[in-house]
Amino acid sequence: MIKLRYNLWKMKRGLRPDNRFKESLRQELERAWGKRYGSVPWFQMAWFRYALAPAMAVVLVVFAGTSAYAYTSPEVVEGTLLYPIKTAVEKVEEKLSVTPAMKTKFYIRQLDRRYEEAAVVEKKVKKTPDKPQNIVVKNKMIKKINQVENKLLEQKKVITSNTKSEVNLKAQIQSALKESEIKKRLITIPTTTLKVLDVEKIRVEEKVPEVIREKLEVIKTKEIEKIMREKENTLLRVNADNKRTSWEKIVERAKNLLPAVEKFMCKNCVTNRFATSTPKIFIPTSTIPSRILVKPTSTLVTPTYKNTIKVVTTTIRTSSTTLPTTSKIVTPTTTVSYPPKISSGTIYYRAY
Amino acid sequence: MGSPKDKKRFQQFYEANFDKVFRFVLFRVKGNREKAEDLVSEIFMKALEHFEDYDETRGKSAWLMMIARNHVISSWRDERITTVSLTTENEDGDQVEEDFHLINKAKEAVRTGQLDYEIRELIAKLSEEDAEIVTSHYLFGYSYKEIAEMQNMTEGAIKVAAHRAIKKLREFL
Repeated sequence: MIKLRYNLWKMKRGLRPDNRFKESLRQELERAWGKRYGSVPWFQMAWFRYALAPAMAVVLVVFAGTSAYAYTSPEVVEGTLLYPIKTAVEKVEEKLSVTPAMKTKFYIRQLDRRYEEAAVVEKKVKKTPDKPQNIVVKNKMIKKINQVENKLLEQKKVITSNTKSEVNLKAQIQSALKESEIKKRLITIPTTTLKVLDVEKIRVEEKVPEVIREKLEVIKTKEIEKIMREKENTLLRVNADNKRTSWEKIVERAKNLLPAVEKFMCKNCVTNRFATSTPKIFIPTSTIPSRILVKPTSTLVTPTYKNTIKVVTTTIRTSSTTLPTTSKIVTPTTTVSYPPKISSGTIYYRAY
Repeated sequence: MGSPKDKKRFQQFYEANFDKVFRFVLFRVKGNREKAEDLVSEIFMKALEHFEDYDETRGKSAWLMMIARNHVISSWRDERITTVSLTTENEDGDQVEEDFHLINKAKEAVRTGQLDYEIRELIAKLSEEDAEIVTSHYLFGYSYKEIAEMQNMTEGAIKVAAHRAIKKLREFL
Protein backbone atom coordinates (compact mmCIF):
# COMPACT_ATOMS: atom_id res chain seq x y z
CA MET A 1 0.00 0.00 0.00
CA ILE A 2 2.74 2.43 1.02
CA LYS A 3 4.77 1.44 -1.99
CA LEU A 4 1.78 2.02 -4.26
CA ARG A 5 1.13 5.45 -2.81
CA TYR A 6 4.85 6.27 -3.03
CA ASN A 7 4.91 5.20 -6.67
CA LEU A 8 1.84 7.30 -7.40
CA TRP A 9 3.51 10.30 -5.73
CA LYS A 10 6.68 9.64 -7.71
CA MET A 11 4.69 9.57 -10.92
CA LYS A 12 2.86 12.76 -9.94
CA ARG A 13 6.23 14.42 -9.48
CA GLY A 14 7.20 13.21 -12.94
CA LEU A 15 4.13 14.93 -14.39
CA ARG A 16 5.27 18.29 -12.99
CA PRO A 17 5.11 21.16 -15.54
CA ASP A 18 8.14 23.15 -16.59
CA ASN A 19 8.20 26.56 -14.91
CA ARG A 20 9.56 28.29 -18.01
CA PHE A 21 6.63 26.97 -20.01
CA LYS A 22 4.23 28.10 -17.31
CA GLU A 23 5.68 31.61 -17.34
CA SER A 24 5.78 31.90 -21.12
CA LEU A 25 2.16 30.71 -21.39
CA ARG A 26 1.18 33.23 -18.74
CA GLN A 27 2.72 36.04 -20.80
CA GLU A 28 1.12 34.74 -23.96
CA LEU A 29 -2.25 34.68 -22.25
CA GLU A 30 -1.76 38.24 -21.04
CA ARG A 31 -1.11 39.36 -24.59
CA ALA A 32 -4.14 37.42 -25.78
CA TRP A 33 -6.22 39.04 -23.05
CA GLY A 34 -5.08 42.47 -24.20
CA LYS A 35 -6.00 41.65 -27.79
CA ARG A 36 -9.37 40.28 -26.91
CA TYR A 37 -10.51 42.64 -24.20
CA GLY A 38 -8.29 45.63 -24.95
CA SER A 39 -5.27 46.81 -23.01
CA VAL A 40 -5.83 48.27 -19.61
CA PRO A 41 -5.94 52.10 -19.63
CA TRP A 42 -3.25 53.79 -17.59
CA PHE A 43 -5.68 54.96 -14.93
CA GLN A 44 -6.77 51.40 -14.28
CA MET A 45 -3.27 50.03 -13.89
CA ALA A 46 -2.19 48.72 -10.53
CA TRP A 47 0.61 51.25 -10.01
CA PHE A 48 -1.81 54.08 -10.64
CA ARG A 49 -4.32 52.71 -8.18
CA TYR A 50 -1.63 52.37 -5.52
CA ALA A 51 -0.32 55.87 -6.21
CA LEU A 52 -3.79 57.34 -6.32
CA ALA A 53 -4.56 57.02 -2.62
CA PRO A 54 -1.48 58.90 -1.28
CA ALA A 55 -1.74 61.46 -4.07
CA MET A 56 -5.38 62.09 -3.22
CA ALA A 57 -4.48 62.32 0.47
CA VAL A 58 -1.85 64.98 -0.27
CA VAL A 59 -4.27 66.89 -2.50
CA LEU A 60 -6.95 66.72 0.18
CA VAL A 61 -4.59 67.93 2.91
CA VAL A 62 -3.39 70.82 0.74
CA PHE A 63 -6.93 71.70 -0.24
CA ALA A 64 -8.18 71.52 3.34
CA GLY A 65 -5.27 73.66 4.54
CA THR A 66 -5.82 76.23 1.82
CA SER A 67 -9.54 76.30 2.50
CA ALA A 68 -8.98 76.70 6.23
CA TYR A 69 -6.51 79.52 5.64
CA ALA A 70 -8.80 81.19 3.10
CA TYR A 71 -11.74 80.91 5.47
CA THR A 72 -10.06 82.22 8.60
CA SER A 73 -7.63 84.80 7.28
CA PRO A 74 -8.87 88.39 7.00
CA GLU A 75 -6.05 88.97 4.52
CA VAL A 76 -8.03 87.01 1.97
CA VAL A 77 -10.19 89.78 0.55
CA GLU A 78 -12.12 90.43 -2.62
CA GLY A 79 -9.80 90.21 -5.60
CA THR A 80 -7.33 87.76 -4.06
CA LEU A 81 -6.79 84.29 -5.45
CA LEU A 82 -8.30 82.44 -2.48
CA TYR A 83 -11.38 84.61 -2.07
CA PRO A 84 -13.60 82.34 -4.21
CA ILE A 85 -12.68 79.43 -1.89
CA LYS A 86 -13.60 81.55 1.11
CA THR A 87 -16.99 82.43 -0.34
CA ALA A 88 -17.56 78.80 -1.37
CA VAL A 89 -16.84 77.58 2.16
CA GLU A 90 -19.15 80.26 3.53
CA LYS A 91 -21.90 79.14 1.17
CA VAL A 92 -21.51 75.58 2.39
CA GLU A 93 -21.60 76.77 5.99
CA GLU A 94 -24.71 78.80 5.23
CA LYS A 95 -26.41 75.76 3.69
CA LEU A 96 -25.47 73.66 6.70
CA SER A 97 -26.93 76.21 9.11
CA VAL A 98 -30.50 75.02 9.20
CA THR A 99 -31.97 76.42 12.37
CA PRO A 100 -32.62 80.17 12.82
CA ALA A 101 -30.12 80.22 15.71
CA MET A 102 -27.40 78.69 13.57
CA LYS A 103 -28.18 81.02 10.70
CA THR A 104 -28.11 84.07 12.95
CA LYS A 105 -24.79 83.10 14.45
CA PHE A 106 -23.40 82.43 11.01
CA TYR A 107 -24.48 85.83 9.66
CA ILE A 108 -23.03 87.60 12.69
CA ARG A 109 -19.74 85.80 12.16
CA GLN A 110 -19.89 86.63 8.46
CA LEU A 111 -20.48 90.28 9.25
CA ASP A 112 -17.45 90.30 11.55
CA ARG A 113 -15.36 88.70 8.85
CA ARG A 114 -16.48 91.29 6.30
CA TYR A 115 -15.41 94.06 8.68
CA GLU A 116 -12.06 92.39 9.23
CA GLU A 117 -11.62 92.24 5.47
CA ALA A 118 -12.72 95.85 5.18
CA ALA A 119 -10.04 96.85 7.69
CA VAL A 120 -7.41 95.09 5.58
CA VAL A 121 -8.67 96.82 2.45
CA GLU A 122 -8.65 100.13 4.31
CA LYS A 123 -5.00 99.62 5.17
CA LYS A 124 -4.26 98.96 1.54
CA VAL A 125 -6.13 102.08 0.51
CA LYS A 126 -4.03 104.11 2.93
CA LYS A 127 -0.82 102.50 1.82
CA THR A 128 -1.45 103.04 -1.85
CA PRO A 129 -4.00 105.85 -2.19
CA ASP A 130 -3.22 106.16 -5.89
CA LYS A 131 -4.53 102.69 -6.64
CA PRO A 132 -8.18 102.96 -7.66
CA GLN A 133 -8.60 99.15 -7.50
CA ASN A 134 -8.43 99.21 -3.73
CA ILE A 135 -11.19 101.79 -3.53
CA VAL A 136 -13.29 99.62 -5.84
CA VAL A 137 -12.65 96.64 -3.58
CA LYS A 138 -13.58 98.72 -0.55
CA ASN A 139 -16.88 99.66 -2.17
CA LYS A 140 -17.52 96.01 -2.92
CA MET A 141 -16.84 95.17 0.70
CA ILE A 142 -19.38 97.75 1.81
CA LYS A 143 -21.88 96.19 -0.60
CA LYS A 144 -21.22 92.78 0.85
CA ILE A 145 -21.66 94.15 4.36
CA ASN A 146 -25.03 95.57 3.30
CA GLN A 147 -26.01 92.18 1.93
CA VAL A 148 -25.18 90.43 5.19
CA GLU A 149 -27.06 93.10 7.12
CA ASN A 150 -30.11 92.50 4.95
CA LYS A 151 -29.86 88.79 5.60
CA LEU A 152 -29.72 89.49 9.33
CA LEU A 153 -32.79 91.69 9.03
CA GLU A 154 -34.59 88.92 7.16
CA GLN A 155 -33.55 86.52 9.87
CA LYS A 156 -35.01 88.86 12.43
CA LYS A 157 -38.31 88.78 10.58
CA VAL A 158 -38.26 85.00 10.50
CA ILE A 159 -38.02 84.84 14.28
CA THR A 160 -41.60 85.37 15.34
CA SER A 161 -42.09 83.55 18.62
CA ASN A 162 -41.24 85.05 21.98
CA THR A 163 -39.38 82.23 23.63
CA LYS A 164 -36.34 83.12 25.69
CA SER A 165 -33.87 81.82 23.14
CA GLU A 166 -35.53 83.61 20.25
CA VAL A 167 -35.70 86.86 22.15
CA ASN A 168 -31.98 86.44 22.80
CA LEU A 169 -31.41 85.87 19.12
CA LYS A 170 -33.32 89.01 18.26
CA ALA A 171 -31.23 90.94 20.77
CA GLN A 172 -28.07 89.52 19.23
CA ILE A 173 -29.20 90.59 15.76
CA GLN A 174 -30.11 94.03 17.03
CA SER A 175 -26.78 94.48 18.74
CA ALA A 176 -24.88 93.21 15.69
CA LEU A 177 -26.73 95.58 13.42
CA LYS A 178 -26.14 98.51 15.75
CA GLU A 179 -22.48 97.73 15.97
CA SER A 180 -22.35 97.30 12.24
CA GLU A 181 -23.89 100.72 11.73
CA ILE A 182 -21.11 102.36 13.74
CA LYS A 183 -18.42 100.34 12.09
CA LYS A 184 -19.75 101.09 8.66
CA ARG A 185 -19.76 104.82 9.40
CA LEU A 186 -16.10 104.57 10.33
CA ILE A 187 -15.26 102.64 7.21
CA THR A 188 -16.98 105.16 5.02
CA ILE A 189 -15.10 108.12 6.61
CA PRO A 190 -12.40 109.10 4.17
CA THR A 191 -8.87 108.75 5.52
CA THR A 192 -8.06 112.42 5.20
CA THR A 193 -10.95 113.36 7.49
CA LEU A 194 -9.43 111.37 10.30
CA LYS A 195 -6.25 113.35 10.14
CA VAL A 196 -8.11 116.64 10.02
CA LEU A 197 -10.19 115.59 12.99
CA ASP A 198 -7.08 115.08 15.01
CA VAL A 199 -5.67 118.46 14.14
CA GLU A 200 -8.92 120.35 14.39
CA LYS A 201 -9.56 119.06 17.85
CA ILE A 202 -7.01 121.34 19.49
CA ARG A 203 -7.69 124.28 17.25
CA VAL A 204 -11.36 124.35 18.18
CA GLU A 205 -10.63 123.97 21.87
CA GLU A 206 -8.74 127.24 21.89
CA LYS A 207 -11.64 129.20 20.40
CA VAL A 208 -14.94 127.96 21.73
CA PRO A 209 -16.28 128.63 25.23
CA GLU A 210 -15.45 126.05 27.82
CA VAL A 211 -18.93 124.53 28.19
CA ILE A 212 -19.24 124.00 24.49
CA ARG A 213 -15.71 122.79 24.45
CA GLU A 214 -16.55 120.24 27.10
CA LYS A 215 -19.44 118.95 25.08
CA LEU A 216 -17.39 118.99 21.98
CA GLU A 217 -14.70 117.16 23.81
CA VAL A 218 -17.05 114.39 24.79
CA ILE A 219 -18.36 114.02 21.27
CA LYS A 220 -14.95 114.09 19.76
CA THR A 221 -13.40 111.77 22.26
CA LYS A 222 -16.19 109.31 21.67
CA GLU A 223 -15.62 109.58 17.98
CA ILE A 224 -11.93 109.11 18.36
CA GLU A 225 -12.48 106.24 20.70
CA LYS A 226 -14.58 104.52 18.11
CA ILE A 227 -12.02 105.17 15.49
CA MET A 228 -9.32 103.81 17.74
CA ARG A 229 -11.33 100.81 18.69
CA GLU A 230 -12.47 99.82 15.27
CA LYS A 231 -9.75 100.84 12.98
CA GLU A 232 -6.67 100.63 15.20
CA ASN A 233 -5.35 103.67 13.55
CA THR A 234 -1.59 103.51 13.62
CA LEU A 235 -1.16 107.23 13.48
CA LEU A 236 -3.32 107.81 16.53
CA ARG A 237 -1.57 105.04 18.34
CA VAL A 238 1.78 106.66 17.78
CA ASN A 239 0.35 110.00 18.93
CA ALA A 240 -0.99 108.31 22.01
CA ASP A 241 2.35 106.83 22.80
CA ASN A 242 4.05 110.18 22.36
CA LYS A 243 1.57 111.94 24.58
CA ARG A 244 1.88 109.25 27.17
CA THR A 245 5.60 109.79 27.20
CA SER A 246 5.20 113.54 27.61
CA TRP A 247 2.79 112.93 30.45
CA GLU A 248 5.32 110.76 32.18
CA LYS A 249 7.82 113.57 31.88
CA ILE A 250 5.41 116.00 33.51
CA VAL A 251 4.78 113.65 36.37
CA GLU A 252 8.48 113.15 36.81
CA ARG A 253 8.95 116.89 36.86
CA ALA A 254 6.13 117.28 39.37
CA LYS A 255 7.66 114.68 41.63
CA ASN A 256 10.94 116.55 41.60
CA LEU A 257 9.15 119.70 42.58
CA LEU A 258 7.14 118.02 45.31
CA PRO A 259 9.14 119.24 48.32
CA ALA A 260 8.90 122.81 47.10
CA VAL A 261 5.26 122.43 46.22
CA GLU A 262 4.27 121.26 49.65
CA LYS A 263 5.25 124.63 51.08
CA PHE A 264 2.62 126.27 48.89
CA MET A 265 -0.09 123.89 49.91
CA CYS A 266 -3.07 125.84 51.16
CA LYS A 267 -5.24 124.90 54.13
CA ASN A 268 -8.32 124.55 51.96
CA CYS A 269 -6.64 121.86 50.03
CA VAL A 270 -6.10 119.73 53.10
CA THR A 271 -9.81 119.72 53.88
CA ASN A 272 -10.69 119.22 50.32
CA ARG A 273 -12.72 116.06 49.81
CA PHE A 274 -10.54 115.03 46.97
CA ALA A 275 -7.40 115.17 48.98
CA THR A 276 -8.21 112.42 51.46
CA SER A 277 -8.11 109.08 49.75
CA THR A 278 -6.07 109.24 46.61
CA PRO A 279 -2.47 110.08 45.93
CA LYS A 280 -2.05 113.65 44.87
CA ILE A 281 0.55 115.96 43.54
CA PHE A 282 0.48 119.64 44.27
CA ILE A 283 1.97 121.89 41.72
CA PRO A 284 2.31 125.66 42.01
CA THR A 285 0.45 127.46 39.32
CA SER A 286 3.62 128.93 38.03
CA THR A 287 4.93 125.50 37.28
CA ILE A 288 1.78 124.27 35.59
CA PRO A 289 2.10 124.04 31.86
CA SER A 290 -0.59 125.74 29.86
CA ARG A 291 -1.86 122.30 28.84
CA ILE A 292 -1.78 119.07 30.76
CA LEU A 293 -2.08 115.80 29.05
CA VAL A 294 -4.06 113.33 30.98
CA LYS A 295 -2.31 110.08 31.27
CA PRO A 296 -4.39 107.05 30.58
CA THR A 297 -4.37 104.71 33.53
CA SER A 298 -2.97 101.48 32.35
CA THR A 299 -5.10 99.35 34.65
CA LEU A 300 -8.17 100.76 33.03
CA VAL A 301 -7.26 99.64 29.58
CA THR A 302 -9.78 97.08 28.62
CA PRO A 303 -8.53 93.89 27.11
CA THR A 304 -10.90 94.18 24.19
CA TYR A 305 -9.71 97.43 22.75
CA LYS A 306 -6.06 98.15 22.59
CA ASN A 307 -4.83 101.69 23.20
CA THR A 308 -8.20 102.86 24.33
CA ILE A 309 -9.06 104.04 27.76
CA LYS A 310 -12.31 102.92 29.19
CA VAL A 311 -13.00 105.68 31.67
CA VAL A 312 -10.71 108.18 33.24
CA THR A 313 -12.08 110.89 35.42
CA THR A 314 -10.11 114.00 35.60
CA THR A 315 -10.71 116.57 38.24
CA ILE A 316 -9.12 119.94 38.16
CA ARG A 317 -9.32 122.45 40.95
CA THR A 318 -7.50 125.50 42.07
CA SER A 319 -7.42 127.14 45.47
CA SER A 320 -8.80 130.38 44.21
CA THR A 321 -11.03 129.26 41.43
CA THR A 322 -12.94 126.05 41.36
CA LEU A 323 -13.26 124.69 37.95
CA PRO A 324 -16.28 122.53 37.28
CA THR A 325 -15.52 118.95 38.08
CA THR A 326 -15.47 117.02 34.90
CA SER A 327 -15.97 113.41 34.33
CA LYS A 328 -15.17 112.42 30.88
CA ILE A 329 -14.07 109.65 28.73
CA VAL A 330 -10.65 110.44 27.52
CA THR A 331 -8.28 108.81 25.19
CA PRO A 332 -4.54 109.13 25.00
CA THR A 333 -5.02 112.03 22.70
CA THR A 334 -7.25 113.99 25.04
CA THR A 335 -5.85 117.18 26.40
CA VAL A 336 -7.11 119.21 29.29
CA SER A 337 -6.36 122.87 29.10
CA TYR A 338 -6.24 125.36 31.93
CA PRO A 339 -7.58 128.81 31.66
CA PRO A 340 -4.56 130.99 31.21
CA LYS A 341 -6.00 133.66 33.50
CA ILE A 342 -5.31 131.62 36.67
CA SER A 343 -2.20 133.10 38.12
CA SER A 344 -2.13 132.06 41.77
CA GLY A 345 -3.20 129.30 44.07
CA THR A 346 -2.49 125.64 44.08
CA ILE A 347 -3.81 123.23 41.63
CA TYR A 348 -3.98 119.54 41.91
CA TYR A 349 -5.41 116.92 39.74
CA ARG A 350 -5.78 113.24 39.77
CA ALA A 351 -6.81 110.51 37.51
CA TYR A 352 -9.07 107.63 38.55
CA MET B 1 -15.35 41.80 -18.98
CA GLY B 2 -11.92 43.18 -19.72
CA SER B 3 -11.63 45.23 -16.57
CA PRO B 4 -8.48 44.90 -14.44
CA LYS B 5 -10.58 43.02 -11.91
CA ASP B 6 -11.50 40.38 -14.51
CA LYS B 7 -7.92 40.14 -15.66
CA LYS B 8 -6.79 39.55 -12.12
CA ARG B 9 -9.49 36.91 -11.73
CA PHE B 10 -8.24 35.12 -14.82
CA GLN B 11 -4.65 35.24 -13.56
CA GLN B 12 -5.74 33.71 -10.28
CA PHE B 13 -7.69 31.09 -12.18
CA TYR B 14 -4.61 30.28 -14.28
CA GLU B 15 -2.33 29.98 -11.25
CA ALA B 16 -4.79 27.71 -9.44
CA ASN B 17 -5.40 25.34 -12.34
CA PHE B 18 -2.30 25.28 -14.51
CA ASP B 19 -0.42 22.50 -12.71
CA LYS B 20 -3.44 20.20 -12.48
CA VAL B 21 -4.45 20.66 -16.10
CA PHE B 22 -0.90 20.15 -17.27
CA ARG B 23 -0.59 16.87 -15.31
CA PHE B 24 -3.93 15.74 -16.64
CA VAL B 25 -2.95 16.44 -20.26
CA LEU B 26 0.54 15.03 -19.88
CA PHE B 27 -0.91 11.85 -18.43
CA ARG B 28 -3.43 11.59 -21.23
CA VAL B 29 -0.83 12.15 -23.97
CA LYS B 30 1.28 9.52 -22.25
CA GLY B 31 4.19 11.68 -21.24
CA ASN B 32 4.66 13.55 -24.49
CA ARG B 33 5.69 16.91 -23.04
CA GLU B 34 5.76 18.81 -26.32
CA LYS B 35 2.29 17.71 -27.19
CA ALA B 36 1.09 18.37 -23.66
CA GLU B 37 2.45 21.90 -23.78
CA ASP B 38 0.70 22.59 -27.07
CA LEU B 39 -2.56 21.22 -25.76
CA VAL B 40 -2.35 23.07 -22.47
CA SER B 41 -1.70 26.33 -24.37
CA GLU B 42 -4.74 25.70 -26.53
CA ILE B 43 -6.87 24.76 -23.52
CA PHE B 44 -6.05 27.97 -21.69
CA MET B 45 -6.57 30.02 -24.84
CA LYS B 46 -10.02 28.46 -25.13
CA ALA B 47 -10.64 29.17 -21.47
CA LEU B 48 -9.65 32.81 -22.02
CA GLU B 49 -11.98 33.13 -24.99
CA HIS B 50 -14.90 31.73 -23.03
CA PHE B 51 -13.99 33.20 -19.70
CA GLU B 52 -17.18 35.26 -19.81
CA ASP B 53 -19.12 31.99 -19.39
CA TYR B 54 -17.01 30.89 -16.45
CA ASP B 55 -19.14 30.71 -13.37
CA GLU B 56 -17.05 30.68 -10.24
CA THR B 57 -19.92 29.45 -8.11
CA ARG B 58 -20.35 26.26 -10.15
CA GLY B 59 -16.93 24.84 -9.28
CA LYS B 60 -13.60 26.25 -10.18
CA SER B 61 -12.03 23.18 -11.73
CA ALA B 62 -14.97 21.41 -13.33
CA TRP B 63 -15.40 23.96 -16.11
CA LEU B 64 -11.74 23.93 -17.12
CA MET B 65 -11.51 20.16 -16.79
CA MET B 66 -14.41 19.82 -19.17
CA ILE B 67 -12.62 22.02 -21.71
CA ALA B 68 -9.38 20.06 -21.22
CA ARG B 69 -11.04 16.68 -21.57
CA ASN B 70 -12.91 17.69 -24.74
CA HIS B 71 -9.79 19.20 -26.19
CA VAL B 72 -7.67 16.13 -25.52
CA ILE B 73 -10.35 13.91 -27.05
CA SER B 74 -10.55 16.07 -30.14
CA SER B 75 -6.76 15.99 -30.42
CA TRP B 76 -6.85 12.16 -30.26
CA ARG B 77 -9.45 12.13 -33.00
CA ASP B 78 -7.23 14.26 -35.21
CA GLU B 79 -4.25 12.06 -34.40
CA ARG B 80 -6.13 8.88 -35.23
CA ILE B 81 -7.12 10.25 -38.61
CA THR B 82 -3.48 11.08 -39.31
CA THR B 83 -2.29 7.68 -38.02
CA VAL B 84 -4.71 5.62 -40.09
CA SER B 85 -3.53 7.27 -43.25
CA LEU B 86 0.02 6.11 -42.62
CA THR B 87 0.83 2.93 -44.56
CA THR B 88 3.98 1.18 -45.64
CA GLU B 89 4.74 -1.03 -48.58
CA ASN B 90 5.86 -4.68 -48.21
CA GLU B 91 8.42 -6.42 -50.39
CA ASP B 92 5.79 -7.24 -52.97
CA GLY B 93 4.79 -3.62 -53.20
CA ASP B 94 1.38 -4.06 -51.43
CA GLN B 95 0.31 -1.37 -48.99
CA VAL B 96 0.09 -2.86 -45.49
CA GLU B 97 -1.31 -1.10 -42.41
CA GLU B 98 1.19 -1.28 -39.59
CA ASP B 99 0.23 -2.33 -36.15
CA PHE B 100 0.40 1.16 -34.77
CA HIS B 101 -1.14 0.13 -31.53
CA LEU B 102 1.80 -2.04 -30.62
CA ILE B 103 4.34 0.44 -31.85
CA ASN B 104 2.73 3.25 -29.87
CA LYS B 105 2.67 1.14 -26.71
CA ALA B 106 6.39 0.41 -27.10
CA LYS B 107 7.10 4.10 -27.72
CA GLU B 108 5.13 5.08 -24.63
CA ALA B 109 6.97 2.55 -22.46
CA VAL B 110 10.29 3.98 -23.55
CA ARG B 111 9.17 7.57 -23.07
CA THR B 112 7.49 7.31 -19.71
CA GLY B 113 9.79 4.83 -18.12
CA GLN B 114 9.04 1.43 -16.77
CA LEU B 115 7.44 2.55 -13.47
CA ASP B 116 5.01 4.94 -15.12
CA TYR B 117 4.11 2.34 -17.63
CA GLU B 118 3.33 -0.21 -14.91
CA ILE B 119 1.15 2.23 -13.01
CA ARG B 120 -0.71 3.14 -16.16
CA GLU B 121 -1.31 -0.54 -16.80
CA LEU B 122 -2.60 -1.00 -13.25
CA ILE B 123 -4.91 2.00 -13.47
CA ALA B 124 -6.20 0.73 -16.79
CA LYS B 125 -7.48 -2.32 -14.97
CA LEU B 126 -9.75 -0.16 -12.81
CA SER B 127 -13.22 0.87 -13.87
CA GLU B 128 -13.42 4.19 -15.71
CA GLU B 129 -14.87 6.02 -12.70
CA ASP B 130 -12.33 4.65 -10.23
CA ALA B 131 -9.47 5.37 -12.61
CA GLU B 132 -10.74 8.96 -12.97
CA ILE B 133 -10.89 9.42 -9.21
CA VAL B 134 -7.46 7.88 -8.54
CA THR B 135 -5.67 9.79 -11.29
CA SER B 136 -7.42 13.07 -10.45
CA HIS B 137 -6.52 12.87 -6.78
CA TYR B 138 -3.18 11.06 -6.65
CA LEU B 139 -1.64 12.15 -9.96
CA PHE B 140 -3.17 15.51 -10.99
CA GLY B 141 -3.51 16.92 -7.49
CA TYR B 142 -7.24 17.65 -7.32
CA SER B 143 -8.82 17.70 -3.89
CA TYR B 144 -11.70 15.38 -3.06
CA LYS B 145 -14.00 18.40 -3.06
CA GLU B 146 -12.96 19.39 -6.58
CA ILE B 147 -13.38 15.82 -7.83
CA ALA B 148 -16.81 15.69 -6.20
CA GLU B 149 -17.78 18.84 -8.13
CA MET B 150 -16.50 17.34 -11.37
CA GLN B 151 -18.22 14.01 -10.85
CA ASN B 152 -21.42 15.46 -9.37
CA MET B 153 -20.97 13.37 -6.23
CA THR B 154 -20.53 14.11 -2.56
CA GLU B 155 -17.09 14.54 -1.10
CA GLY B 156 -17.61 11.56 1.22
CA ALA B 157 -18.56 9.29 -1.64
CA ILE B 158 -15.43 10.29 -3.55
CA LYS B 159 -13.28 9.56 -0.49
CA VAL B 160 -14.80 6.11 -0.14
CA ALA B 161 -14.43 5.43 -3.86
CA ALA B 162 -10.78 6.52 -3.83
CA HIS B 163 -10.04 4.29 -0.85
CA ARG B 164 -11.68 1.31 -2.54
CA ALA B 165 -9.83 1.98 -5.81
CA ILE B 166 -6.48 2.02 -4.02
CA LYS B 167 -7.42 -1.23 -2.34
CA LYS B 168 -8.21 -2.74 -5.74
CA LEU B 169 -4.90 -1.53 -7.12
CA ARG B 170 -3.10 -3.20 -4.24
CA GLU B 171 -4.92 -6.41 -5.04
CA PHE B 172 -3.74 -6.18 -8.65
CA LEU B 173 -0.13 -5.91 -7.57
